[in-house]
Amino acid sequence: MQKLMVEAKIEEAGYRGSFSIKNVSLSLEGGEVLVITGRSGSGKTTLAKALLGLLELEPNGFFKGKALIEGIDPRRSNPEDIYSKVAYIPQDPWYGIIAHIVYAEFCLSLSIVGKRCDVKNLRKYGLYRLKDHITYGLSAGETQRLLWASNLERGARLFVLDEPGVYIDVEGRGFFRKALEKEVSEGRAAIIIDHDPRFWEPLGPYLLVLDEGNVKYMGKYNKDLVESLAFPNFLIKEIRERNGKILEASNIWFKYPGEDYILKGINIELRRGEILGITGPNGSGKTTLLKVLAKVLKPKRGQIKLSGRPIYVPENPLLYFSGATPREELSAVPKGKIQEMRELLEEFDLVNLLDRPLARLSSGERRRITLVSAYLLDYDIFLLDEPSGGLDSFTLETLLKVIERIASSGKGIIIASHDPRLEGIYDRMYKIKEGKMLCSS
Amino acid sequence: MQLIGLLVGLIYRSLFHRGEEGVRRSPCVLKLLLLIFSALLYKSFYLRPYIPLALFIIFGALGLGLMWAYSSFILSSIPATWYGVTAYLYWIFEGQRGALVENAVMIYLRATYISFIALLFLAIISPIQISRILHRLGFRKGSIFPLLLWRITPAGISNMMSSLALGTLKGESSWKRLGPALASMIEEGQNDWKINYHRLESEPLIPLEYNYSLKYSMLTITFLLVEFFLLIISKVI
Repeated sequence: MQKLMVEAKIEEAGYRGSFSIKNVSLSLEGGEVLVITGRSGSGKTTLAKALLGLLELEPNGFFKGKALIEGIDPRRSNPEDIYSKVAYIPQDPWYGIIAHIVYAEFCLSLSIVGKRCDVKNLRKYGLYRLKDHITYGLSAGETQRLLWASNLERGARLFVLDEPGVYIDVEGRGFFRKALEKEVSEGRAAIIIDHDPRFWEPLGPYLLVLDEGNVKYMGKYNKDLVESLAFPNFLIKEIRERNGKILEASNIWFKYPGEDYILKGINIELRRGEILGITGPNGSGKTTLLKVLAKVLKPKRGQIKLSGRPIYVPENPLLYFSGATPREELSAVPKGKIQEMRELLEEFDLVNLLDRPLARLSSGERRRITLVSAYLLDYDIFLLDEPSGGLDSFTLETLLKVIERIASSGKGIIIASHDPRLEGIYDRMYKIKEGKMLCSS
Repeated sequence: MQLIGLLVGLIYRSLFHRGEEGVRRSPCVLKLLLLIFSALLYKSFYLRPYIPLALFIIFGALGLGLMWAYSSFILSSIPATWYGVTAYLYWIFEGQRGALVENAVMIYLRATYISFIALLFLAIISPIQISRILHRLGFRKGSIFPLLLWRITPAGISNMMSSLALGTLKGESSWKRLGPALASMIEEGQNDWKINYHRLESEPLIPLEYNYSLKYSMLTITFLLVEFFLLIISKVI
């Protein structure tokens, strides 16, 4: 008989005067996998934090009930014991890193559980070439890979993974699923939060569906239910007029000081009304390319011709904002567009969020406000970095409607992403690998 | 906006652009000796500060890269220029006569030297070496904090740079942009603590391994010898 890894009876947990999850009971044995899904804001991350005893560290966080990991209450036990048992990958991977260098981060994780590290093991995870790289210079995908590597190598017994593949390329996601499968077959357990549970189906998981903090379904993996929650593989695509070139970049070469070239002779063009996708493995230069096209970074060689104003929306949309609330952010919208702004806020379900501080907005809400703001401020070229990160099917659909609307108004859009759900809206797709453009389709 | 972005960029490139590379990988004892010698050189070459300044610029360029030397020299020159110019204006208003420009240039050079040395030592501090020392002294939990500090400070500055660059694209004023840029820095620190709570409250059982660089240790020793030689010359002269 397998050991009971998680036992939880949560009466209520969340944030005082705000959101909470209620009446969640679950138990998980070694060798079992539980996938938690549900819409953005349904309480998935709150549940993970409640299980790990992290909720009370948040302002106004509270917990009522019981949550035990291998019979230990994380609220009352030594943090070292919990760390040695649990591997946690947060939704925003950049917050999960402590050390400044890749190998130091990797070795520190192992050192805490008394294991000597062998840096060569980073090879398995595609990170050995980055062993001396600064962690704050990694892409989101490379950061997520590093978290996976540290957690797999230190031999934790329970994996709590919050959107663990959202920034990782398709090949990498397959690799890590296999690695997790091996861990589970050896008696470890996993709790995975994902908007698309279908990816984890080969692991034979249990399924927990949350809706506004309540359990909507808890039981064996239910294919029909999962399909009903999943994002459709098609999109209503408007026929847009594609006019003159709005962006033309030729023979772009770029490198960060002291490093090798990350972009090598890139050629790209964008027309008005066009949505262009850029895909490629982690660390291939997608984000750098967007920054170069926005003229945030200056290329070493090559030419960029823009026939309009560009705006770059980063992976972390918080960096876009200059106001403390959406209302402040939208105060820059010209008077002539106020009516249109009202309509958009209504259409994209943002009216109730106008006075909410940015810190309390979800990723999806931040991204939608960012796009609405940029659209109303009349930029011509939109450079969007992983715009679907952490978005459920419903929120993603709303976001894609905003993107379609922007393109229909004659603007040009370039999206860098690994998310296959976006492929339906691209007019053309470029693949980039090791700084070179491989093909366009 | 661009001026603030430029300043933040200079600070980032002077202190955090590189990881455990260059002279950062020479032993602590050599770095400490370098610090002591830089103070002695300042005293000995008080009337000719350009000699040790030139020496340390060369050392920085060889040990940390040309871009580091260039960025750090510009950054050190900013407060130094202020001191030189204000001293010069003060003397003019006071009605002093004599070699005012020469004296102002001397003030500029001395201030540049001190700022440059400060930046050099901040840039060659190795958080991993400090972490190892703390671990050996028995401060196991504390040994995590140098690593964390060298992670969240540049990560925050890097976010701030991105935020300022976006402000430029949006055509916003620098003051409007500084608030959210600082807010993102604060959020970075708070989230790092909350997410990594169990790890930060734990004690690493094994100190991190460290590979010293023979090449950069030799470079530091060579410069120490040159400095020693200069100190002797200054006494003879």
